[in-house]
Amino acid sequence: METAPAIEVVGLTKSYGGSIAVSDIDLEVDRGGFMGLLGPNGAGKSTTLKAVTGLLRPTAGQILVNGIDVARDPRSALSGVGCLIETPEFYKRSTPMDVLGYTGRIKGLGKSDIQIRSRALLEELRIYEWRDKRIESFSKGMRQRVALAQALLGNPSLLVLDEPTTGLDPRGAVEFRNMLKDLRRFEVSLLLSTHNLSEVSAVCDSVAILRKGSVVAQGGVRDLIKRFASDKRTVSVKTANPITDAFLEDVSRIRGVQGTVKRSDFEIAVEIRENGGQQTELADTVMRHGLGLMSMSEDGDSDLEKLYMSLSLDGDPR
Amino acid sequence: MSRRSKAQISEVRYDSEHVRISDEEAHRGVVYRTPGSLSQLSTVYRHQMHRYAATGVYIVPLVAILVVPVLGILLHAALGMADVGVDFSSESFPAILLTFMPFGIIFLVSTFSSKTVSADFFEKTGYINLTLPMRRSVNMAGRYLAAVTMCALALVLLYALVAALTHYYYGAIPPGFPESYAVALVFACAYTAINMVFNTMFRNQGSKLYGLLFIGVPALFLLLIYLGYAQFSSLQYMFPLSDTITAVMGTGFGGVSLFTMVTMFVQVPPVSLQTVDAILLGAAWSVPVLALAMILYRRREM
Repeated sequence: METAPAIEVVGLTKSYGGSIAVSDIDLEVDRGGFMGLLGPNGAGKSTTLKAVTGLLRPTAGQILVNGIDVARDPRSALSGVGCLIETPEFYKRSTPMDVLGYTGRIKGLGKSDIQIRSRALLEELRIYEWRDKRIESFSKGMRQRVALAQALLGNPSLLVLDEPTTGLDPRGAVEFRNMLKDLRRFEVSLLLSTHNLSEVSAVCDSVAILRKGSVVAQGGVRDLIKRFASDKRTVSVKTANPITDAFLEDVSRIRGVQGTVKRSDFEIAVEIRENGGQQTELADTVMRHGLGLMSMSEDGDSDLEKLYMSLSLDGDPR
Repeated sequence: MSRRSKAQISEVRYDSEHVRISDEEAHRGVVYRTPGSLSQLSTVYRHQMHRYAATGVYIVPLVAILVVPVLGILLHAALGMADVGVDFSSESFPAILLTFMPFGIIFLVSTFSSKTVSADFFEKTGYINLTLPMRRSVNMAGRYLAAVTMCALALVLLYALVAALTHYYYGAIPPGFPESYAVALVFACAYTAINMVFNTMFRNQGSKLYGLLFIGVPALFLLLIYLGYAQFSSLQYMFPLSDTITAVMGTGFGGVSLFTMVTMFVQVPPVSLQTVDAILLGAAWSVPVLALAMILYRRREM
């Protein structure tokens, strides 16, 4: 199975009663390849990752991980795979070392290997100092670091990560991306779901864009940009206070606004098709929600973002 | 040194030096082989036992084990029950203890111990547990064995305490303790298997509880009774001194005891056979129910 792709998804369909979460999805992550999975909320990213990691059984289709069918033999398929799905919770009163000790033993690490790998990972993720503290007293970002450490423990040949930098501060996110990039040296493969387009640009060499449960575009990042990039303008809005759902809803109601992408808790990208004073209205909306406007500027260089906005909002480009 | 607050614990320190350990020292790139299922079963079991110790899940039954008999002794002495005319044989007090305590202990310990299964789905611990390279049936079996072990340990404590009290008060340990313990343990296995099914089926704690109370427990008792199997004779072996209870209850209920009514239609086989059959019956119940729990757990989605 050494020549099989790291992940091969063929005709994946998952439905719940009458509603279809994902339909006829085909994906392939080559060995050593880093693929980003992009799409708005509800596009089917998490469903796809859950199916890949055996948390969901496909209604139709097949998923092979390192050439092994996940539905038939999840144990063998998930050997050598590190997973981070959504925001996991930990048992009460457990410490990072408890979690890593258990995970390590299940993955086949000996006692000394667990100590060595755990220390290296916790140092890199900057939580070694807290290795024996209870996780329930950790912030969301710290918990995410523990979850990332358990995913990376055991030197997986494939990583499946769902929004891995959620909750991390900007510096932590940058450091983690650097960790991921560094893993290329060991021919690790990656399937990464994220809302953060700059993360995909920085880390991945291929991307699949999902919309309403289907893949609308897939290929190399540069190739796709060349094929689909549009001339829409993107305005970046940075705020002093965390962005709320109510704010996003109000922004989407502004005339001429085609869509929004939350880049972080304090920044959104707004896709504008025509210039009719939307920026003024945007500023007013920020103030009205008490978010504190830090900056507003037009993006000139985010081609992937334009591509994403184009594909996730427009008609099917195929 | 001042104590750290929670807020301090929640901060990542960027001012400290970022330690980067070399690839060789950090064992980066080393390939590890997933261990066999038996080894993973042992890991899950030990991890669960460690979790029980860390979370203090055993505290409630432990307190019950210690408090109830002590209160019973005090009450027994305070009321001077030995002088009220009822023919309290030397075994009566431990008999009463062994009538109710094993059930209570098993219900409490098993219910608390099985919660980790539903936590996988309800509290999202499964996002880590269920994505590990391990068969779900192994995961379930390890937890089941740990939960049964907790019941066994709690029962040992109870039986030891009752034996000690009996010896202290009456100068002898009544017969039937090993049989009673064996049947109680089988009951714990059967009940824990039911618990596993309900913990897998229901995400919601309330639904789980209602399911257990109104379906699981009655089903277990119905099985034991409906099979006509020695009716209460299986269960009475949880109470090795049921004759005494019968006598006491008979006195209390106008001469006709509940146990007398139930057991008068039963042809009671020899003691040893009863015990063996009760154990077989418990196993015959536990194995398929646990298998059902494993199937449900394997098919459960997140």
